[in-house]
Amino acid sequence: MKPKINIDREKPSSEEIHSHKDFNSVLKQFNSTGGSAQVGASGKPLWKSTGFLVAAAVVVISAVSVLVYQGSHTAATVSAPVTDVKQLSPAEKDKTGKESLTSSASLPRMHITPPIKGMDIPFQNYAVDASKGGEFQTKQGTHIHVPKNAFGDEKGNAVKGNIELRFREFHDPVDFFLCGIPMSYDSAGVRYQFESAGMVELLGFREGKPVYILPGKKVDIEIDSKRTGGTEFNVYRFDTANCNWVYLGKDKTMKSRNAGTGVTDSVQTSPTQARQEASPEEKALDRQAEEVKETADKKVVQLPALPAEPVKPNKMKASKHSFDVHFDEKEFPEMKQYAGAKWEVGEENTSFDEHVAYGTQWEDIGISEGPRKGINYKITLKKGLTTQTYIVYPVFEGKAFDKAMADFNAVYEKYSAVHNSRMEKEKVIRTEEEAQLTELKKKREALERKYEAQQQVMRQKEETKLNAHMSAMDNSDKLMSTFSVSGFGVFNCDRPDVYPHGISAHIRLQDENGKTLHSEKVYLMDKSKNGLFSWYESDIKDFSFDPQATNTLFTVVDNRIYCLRNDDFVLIKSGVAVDVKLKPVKQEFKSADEIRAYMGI
Amino acid sequence: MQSASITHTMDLVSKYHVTGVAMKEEWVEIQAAKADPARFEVLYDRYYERIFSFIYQRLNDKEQAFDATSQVFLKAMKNLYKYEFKGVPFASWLFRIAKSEVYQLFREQKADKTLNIDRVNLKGMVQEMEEDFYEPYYDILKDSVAELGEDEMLFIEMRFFEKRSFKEIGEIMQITENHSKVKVYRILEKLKKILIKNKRPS
Repeated sequence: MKPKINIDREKPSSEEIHSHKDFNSVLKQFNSTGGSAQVGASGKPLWKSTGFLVAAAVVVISAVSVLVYQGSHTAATVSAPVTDVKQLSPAEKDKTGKESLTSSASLPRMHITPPIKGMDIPFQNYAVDASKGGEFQTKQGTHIHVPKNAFGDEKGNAVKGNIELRFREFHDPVDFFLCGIPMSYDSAGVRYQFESAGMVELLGFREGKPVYILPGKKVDIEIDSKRTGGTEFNVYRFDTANCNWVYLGKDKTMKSRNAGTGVTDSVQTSPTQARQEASPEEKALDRQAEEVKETADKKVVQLPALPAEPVKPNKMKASKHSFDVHFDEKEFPEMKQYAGAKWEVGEENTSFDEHVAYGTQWEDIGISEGPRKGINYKITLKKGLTTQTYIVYPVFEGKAFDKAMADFNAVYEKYSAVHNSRMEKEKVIRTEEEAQLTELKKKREALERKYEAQQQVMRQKEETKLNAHMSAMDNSDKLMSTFSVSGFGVFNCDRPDVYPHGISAHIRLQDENGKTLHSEKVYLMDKSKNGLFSWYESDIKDFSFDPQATNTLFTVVDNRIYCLRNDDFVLIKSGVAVDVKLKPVKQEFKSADEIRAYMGI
Repeated sequence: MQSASITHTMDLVSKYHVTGVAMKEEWVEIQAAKADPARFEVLYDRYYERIFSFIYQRLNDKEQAFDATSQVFLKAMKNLYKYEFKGVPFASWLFRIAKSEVYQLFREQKADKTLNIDRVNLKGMVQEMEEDFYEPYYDILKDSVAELGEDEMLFIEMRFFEKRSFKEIGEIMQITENHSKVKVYRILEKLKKILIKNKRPS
């Protein structure tokens, strides 16, 4: 259906628009319909609610000494081999039958394959007295709270004495890459990638044997989520048997307990505002442009007016009713062109009655312009008080038609000449106008670039200042993700993110010599996301990326990283098969920090 | 693929340009609003007129446009928890909600699809098509625009009647800036063909 068209509709003024603003009414509707799903009933985020604060205040840090020691930074310090296979204890199952946060420390760690030997993320080891519990903080600021009497053996019997907790955490794409824990998530047949607010792995042992968290007991974890705002994320447990993540619930957020007293100095910044209006020079150019347009319009208006286009005469149709009207050309010179014409009754006259029209002795007749000027007319017939009006069309027959056509052709020829001449002149005026406007436009663009460059310099200075201020601040703005686990394993605080889109291509990986690279997994890092997209070799035909992002593509072959940097992504075009040459990274990395530095994280 | 070059349009400084610093400051306001919906008011005040103008550009009934504007902000507040800062202005997210609201009204036949044209803007569009603007063809022009598809008309409206930059159009339509440029040129090419068809004497 065609839309309704309004031309030059009057725009409401700002005053009129603002007079309709009513935020209170919108807020009322918002509150009456339950508000947002992620906000507590009081309208405050849950972590601000009284209940939460009370619960947090009840947490008692154990007075018993908690021995904290660090293992060495190699995977070899983990005494429980990752390939240890034991059955899951029935005592670990949640009594309600629901999925719990339970997993055995000794389940096979299938699907966790660190891609680079010797570079896996190491565990940190902590000892805790099982009967007393304890609380400890990792180097990265993560807090772990262990309740007392939380651990049992495979039969469900409580264990006493020192428990060795092994803990490691993963915060950024390099961590996710090195640990080899899959970060993809399947839901309802759709594959997502996790954007993480932090991932942890927690294991427990007593004298080298795995222990379990007893039913009803939970270990609380608070991890620095690296975000300063945002909604709750989801908590997932990694199901090593099925290589998938199991949704457990939402996390909670709270301000970092590492927060200090706040900013110790104030930073005065006057942020460069977006240019709200043009500079005087630009305005002058705009005015000139307007003047050029006005001048051109005036010139066009001053051109000789176009005469009305002559109307081609129509031939009379014998099947139609008509009137024959005689008139004196001297008395009605404007009717001269219709000398010899008949007046055909138009289809519009749905109630035309020939008996009335032709059978009445009319006393008076008049012809006037019809609804379509120059095309039809009205014939008005009068007798006494009776009037009949018909829409009629001038038509010709025989020699009268021939003459009318000859007259029309002569007039039309003159008309065409005038019309074409005028169009030519108008075109000259418009061409000149266009040339002037183009010139002004170039000058204006040059000015815009100049101001934009100036603004850019100022913005960069401000951002540098602001960033320096932010990093000088302590963690008062940071948020921690908090969740509780009732079993050991890998837990992730994430939200699923769709795979990037923009460019999709079937890529074939090659080294710099054009030789095919066969690797199990290919990774894509988008600098704006705290996650890592990955494809298996068999999936790489569905490769996609966001061309607007800062991307790095890499893979590992024979323990060496091969990499495609962001600038080279332009070589990958949508919809075509592409051979992508990855460059081997010559640097021998000795730590995750070195890889971070190389990747620019 | 051959892209047309702009030779005739005179682009003013976009009033929609937002600096990185301004976006960061606004993100702080958004987070405050997430924690306390009453603090959404500052965003409501800032964008009310722009959202109304966007909606009214596409509707015939002014009161209906005011109602729809209120609905947009209500929906924004309800879904604010999902909003995350991704380096794109908050306004673009609001415009997307507004676009959905308008489309919903059309689907439910609660509003007439309307095309609001200023002659001046139409002239600018014709110049970009590298056509000559003749007053006698004015009627054909506006009818030709009305033959475009719903989304195509939206692109034309945003580019020529609302003077939005390609960048902003991309942010609203969730496509890249380049893609929005290509789309507009393709629509202009299509419009040229419609124009030629409509100009032809029967």
